Amino acid sequence: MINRIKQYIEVAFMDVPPTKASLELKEELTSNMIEKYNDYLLKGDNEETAFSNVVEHVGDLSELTAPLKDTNQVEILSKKQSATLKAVAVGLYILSPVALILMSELFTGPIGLTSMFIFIALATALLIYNSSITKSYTRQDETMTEQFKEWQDKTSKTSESFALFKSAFWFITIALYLYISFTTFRWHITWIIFLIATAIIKIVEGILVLRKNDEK
Amino acid sequence: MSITSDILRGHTETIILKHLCDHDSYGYEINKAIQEKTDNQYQLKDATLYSAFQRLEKAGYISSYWGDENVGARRKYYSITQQGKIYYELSKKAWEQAKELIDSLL
Repeated sequence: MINRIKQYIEVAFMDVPPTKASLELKEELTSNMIEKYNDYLLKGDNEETAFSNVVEHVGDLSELTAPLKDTNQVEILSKKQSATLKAVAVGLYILSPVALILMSELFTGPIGLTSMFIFIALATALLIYNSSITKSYTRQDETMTEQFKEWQDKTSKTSESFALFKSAFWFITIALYLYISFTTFRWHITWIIFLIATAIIKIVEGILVLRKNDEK
Repeated sequence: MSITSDILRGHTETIILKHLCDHDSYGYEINKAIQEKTDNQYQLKDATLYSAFQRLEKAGYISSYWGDENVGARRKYYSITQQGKIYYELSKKAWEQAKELIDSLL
């Protein structure tokens, strides 16, 4: 019967997004209703009467749940945040060759290369973090249009991050090629960087395709 | 009873604050106390009670914390703030004035 109380609350909160506020309200309501139900049992009611007594005094829960459905404000905030993250990531990509050149001028050894890769790693991490926190479109009902919107949202989000990554990647490859070639003067062999870069891009692409298939 | 309920509903928040003046409490306990004090004649609907909590908390008149019950579900306790106490006194005075006026009118 306790499960019926929980179910009753679940149904009332069916179309409320699971935010911290709504989950806490659910827990609060459930625990108070269960206590009330147990008190009715102690007074000698049978389970059925106790349950209907509890439910009778619940009232119209929609006045509680209605304000929780309004999540627009949260969305605007997260959009701003996401734009900032993307901008910082792209900035890091662009600055990474600068780090390479600057650090190599100042220090000897692999510090220049290391600092460039740290920049790249940070930027990539930001992009991945960003795509994981931005809420994906969840369909509101089972119509074809809603399914299409959800699919479109998912595809565009992955391809957008990937396009950003790819353009930055080629930019860095060219910078690396020129830099190494000019410092070592081994032009006969440095072109191999482009082959390696292409291979890396294809591997990343392959991983993305595999992941997408998994999601399906 | 429904007319009485309508009049009482306007004072839900004051009734809750009065109860919290004595000690911290949670939803069901408050409603149970209301029922006992009114000799089982009146109790709040859950929806009314919990939306009043939300309004009061938002206004800064009460604050909430989770209890640490070992058995069963957690309870959410409320306690009255200094501002809440001031608001309660004001509401009570307002009610006493209204009562006098209505008594002289009806």
